[in-house]
Amino acid sequence: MASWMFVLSNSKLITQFSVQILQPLLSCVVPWLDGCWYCSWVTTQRHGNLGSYYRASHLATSLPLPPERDHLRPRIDLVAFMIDIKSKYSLKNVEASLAYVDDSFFLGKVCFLVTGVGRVNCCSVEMNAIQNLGEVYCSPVLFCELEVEGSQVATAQRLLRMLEICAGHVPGVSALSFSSLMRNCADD
Amino acid sequence: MESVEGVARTLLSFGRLSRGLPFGRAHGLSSRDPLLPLAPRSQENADPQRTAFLLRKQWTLYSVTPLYRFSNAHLRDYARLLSAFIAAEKQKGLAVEVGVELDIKVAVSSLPYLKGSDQDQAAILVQLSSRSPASPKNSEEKLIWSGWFCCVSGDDISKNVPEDFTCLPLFLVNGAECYTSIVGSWFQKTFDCSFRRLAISPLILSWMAAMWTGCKVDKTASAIELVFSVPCLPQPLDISYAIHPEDAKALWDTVQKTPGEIIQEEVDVFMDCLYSHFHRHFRIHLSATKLVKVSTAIASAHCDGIIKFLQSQYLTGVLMLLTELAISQIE
Repeated sequence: MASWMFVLSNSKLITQFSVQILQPLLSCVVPWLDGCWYCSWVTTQRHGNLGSYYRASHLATSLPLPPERDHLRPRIDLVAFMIDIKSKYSLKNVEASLAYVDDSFFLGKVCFLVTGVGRVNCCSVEMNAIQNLGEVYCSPVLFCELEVEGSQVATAQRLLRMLEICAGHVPGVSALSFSSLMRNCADD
Repeated sequence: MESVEGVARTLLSFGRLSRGLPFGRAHGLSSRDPLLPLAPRSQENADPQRTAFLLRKQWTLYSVTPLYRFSNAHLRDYARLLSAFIAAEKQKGLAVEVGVELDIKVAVSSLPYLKGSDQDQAAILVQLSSRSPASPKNSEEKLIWSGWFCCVSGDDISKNVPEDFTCLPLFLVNGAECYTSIVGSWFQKTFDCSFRRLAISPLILSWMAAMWTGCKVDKTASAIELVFSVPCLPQPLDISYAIHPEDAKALWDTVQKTPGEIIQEEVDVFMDCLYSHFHRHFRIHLSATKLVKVSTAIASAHCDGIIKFLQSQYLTGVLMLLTELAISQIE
């Protein structure tokens, strides 16, 4: 599986429907052949008393994103980099793409999603390299197994929770807490 | 689904490759930590004739938990009990080959020269040979199955284990699967141990490729061959990448800084050079595929846990690495 980067953006409140929308997104597998693949979709939720909700997810195989659509792109709240433990190429791709991310994102708005950890015998990527990546960029590393349905839902829920916090919808918690949480764990 | 344990086991299995350094289980290694010499060194004093029967055969690998109340002094008794067990299985009709009546003889012997240090247990060889009853009495017996337990430099497990246990974590098998399951179940019943297929991950295979490329061989070496399996395609596709041994060794010599020590970064650089060379010619990213087989002049290894030894002087070195893999799978 080629590496693909999952960029999440949210400008309003998230409802519980988002889990059902996010799940099929995480379950699609990008073909391994090298090539740019850019997709974006926006969905509108039902209108409630608080107005309409918008939510958008953008996916790309590598950075930088094509400049042509810059003006159409909404504010990005969370960037999730996907690394497949079975493919060294995905790690290299993510490392190369990290250079194109603005510094301000690394204050808790970036996370690494490592998939394929259920298959220990197929791993081509060394765990230390991934842990180092998380430490160097002060960003959380989430492990999941996207080929298993239960894990897909759980991962989607975790990502959405992070997204809520990064977009500022959870009072009292900001994205900066992620980096400080990581530092505490490292000291332990 | 063992997501977290899977991660922990990967950490552990890599951490074990660099044993000898004080580090805790919870922490991985930074890639700059040097490793103690793990590259197989040539054993000048090994007798090539005694180990010749182990070479050039395909051995399937298993990891074995410690055996309870196993004793080197009772090997003849074990052979007798095992042959009785095999005969009983045949009677039950559970064995072995349909329509062929074979008289199976079991021999259990010890191979004291196959060990890394003095604390290691001597290797134990089990051989099944048969003679068809139709052939004359003094005809040659044919070896139909062999399996051997060994432990080469397995100090980490043998010192942590209580008194009555014998540590022989690596089991290698050559022969029909039906005999393997019979012998395995006898050992499991008698010594309360358990067998598990030992798989080799692509990460470890790339280590083997780098380590074995650097070994000096006397005769003309065969090409280094790497086989990759391409995922996510409707028909399975295998890519075989053969490299001239001298070119590969020259590349490895430029990458490796300290002779006798190998670190993860050097292995990564070596493999990246090979991948980028391939990409330049064929526009295929081998790093996105799965490395399934590595063949060098020293040995050849397959990710399903199949190994073939090709040089007797490096036999112990390769066994040391395999023992370590087996131990990390047991733990």
